[in-house]
Amino acid sequence: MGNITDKAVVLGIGETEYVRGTDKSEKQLILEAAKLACDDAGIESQSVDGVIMAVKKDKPTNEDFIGALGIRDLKFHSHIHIGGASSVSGVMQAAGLIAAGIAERVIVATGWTGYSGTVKSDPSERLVRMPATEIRRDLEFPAGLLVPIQWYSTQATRYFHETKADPKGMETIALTTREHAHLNQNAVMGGRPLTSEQYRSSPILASPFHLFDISLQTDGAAAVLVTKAGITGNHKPVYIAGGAEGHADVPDDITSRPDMLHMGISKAAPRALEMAGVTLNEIDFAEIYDCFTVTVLRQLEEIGFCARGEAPDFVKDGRISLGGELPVNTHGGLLSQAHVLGMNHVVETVRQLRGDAGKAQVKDAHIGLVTGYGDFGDGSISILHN
Amino acid sequence: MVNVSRISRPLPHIEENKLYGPYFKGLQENKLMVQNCTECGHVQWPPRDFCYKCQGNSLDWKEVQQSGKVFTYSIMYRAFDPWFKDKLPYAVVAVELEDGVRMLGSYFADDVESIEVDMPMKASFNHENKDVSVLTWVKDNTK
Ligand SMILES: [Zn+2]
Repeated sequence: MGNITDKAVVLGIGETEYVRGTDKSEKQLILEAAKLACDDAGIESQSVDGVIMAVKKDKPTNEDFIGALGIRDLKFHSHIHIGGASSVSGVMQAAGLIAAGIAERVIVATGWTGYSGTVKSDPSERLVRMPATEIRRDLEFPAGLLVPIQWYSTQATRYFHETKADPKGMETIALTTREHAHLNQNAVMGGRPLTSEQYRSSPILASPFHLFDISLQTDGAAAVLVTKAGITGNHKPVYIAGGAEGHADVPDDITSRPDMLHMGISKAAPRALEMAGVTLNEIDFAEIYDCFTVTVLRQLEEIGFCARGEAPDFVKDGRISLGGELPVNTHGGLLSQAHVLGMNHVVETVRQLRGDAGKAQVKDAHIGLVTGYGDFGDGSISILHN
Repeated sequence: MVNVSRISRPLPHIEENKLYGPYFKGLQENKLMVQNCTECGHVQWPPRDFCYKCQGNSLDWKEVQQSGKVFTYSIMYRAFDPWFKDKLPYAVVAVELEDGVRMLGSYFADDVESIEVDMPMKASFNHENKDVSVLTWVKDNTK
């Protein structure tokens, strides 16, 4: 067991409505989610004393949070810039702060206007918060490698070549995740069926990725309130047993990585499991960051649920569906719920462990695993229990 | 309406990137240049301020061969920059050269969908203007 095990809990969760099209700013959405997390916990937002912003930009600032939540004594703040790995990494930072006695009530928040915002339409926005500007701007862009879909399509090609894994695994992820989204009231693709035929006939944007292998672009924000264990609120606490962050060798360049399949979570997962004192067969469900279908397959392998190349076999025959041995992305994920930089995965983990997941509830859920994945392979992982 | 002639290719910002200078200059001269650590001999690509292997900062440059094999690739059916729109489908290819160096380039040809991992490729140099050249790959039919 680690020094921080069970010292901190997630007491509150907050999510805005997830939509495609909003007039609200990213700042407004994120602050709303933070307030909702405090309300959900039953904790006065004025008493928050730490703010961790797992956002893509430098806004909102800590001053924005102080103003919006009425924080009376902010003792710590930080911004985390490892893309979709930032949310889970932020939860672990919060747990560390609390265990160290630096703060006791820490908001971890993120969100973006991925649909309505400017990031996708303005090329000058491409380099915002991207590591290694020179590699991107001076080597990749001139070669026609411009966006994450394309970076990860090159990685997927190598994965399928090297391991002879069955590409059908990507379809299994897309369809299973969509099935789960139908059970969620706040899922953008809920109620919109996805058949195998629709998946296969959808356009290929960058081989081997079909349209439905790619996460959604949505508007919304999510936050959690992490508190010192023992602080009571509206809900039973969900304990943070352990977690870790990890970075690939090398962290900023996928195609030059000596082992192109290496990822941050390859290092982080064993650390997290050891800290939590948990083995993989004790995990009841997993919320796995799903920017692309193949990224779920790859993380399942690097975490150690199966060997490299075996994930397509691992996920088939309902194993990762509700009712299966290891339900995955029970909320619909980034692929079919919304792209909230993985904070929606953290929120869903908490819901499951509270027993509040409604139609998507995993029976007898006691231990959940949640991951984040960002930029060029940064990884984060947390293990929570009730 | 967008005036087609005004769409320019994404080019490296050579003025803002002194670190890659010898690489850019090499492309102008139809050469592929990579970093070489004078302390431990590590051949480094992409260029960095320090040697990734020994953390020394005494980095020199050396020329590498211009042919190698496809390490990975992706065929693009959608353009995320307007210049690539009339090139679709095109491929982005990472070719492995000597010393484990993998260099990225586009591949523009009608047979783009025939690309496979391990296929032999050789460098081609697009001289865009008097200062800037861009690496692309073509099939190496001599292999
Ligand atoms: Zn060296």
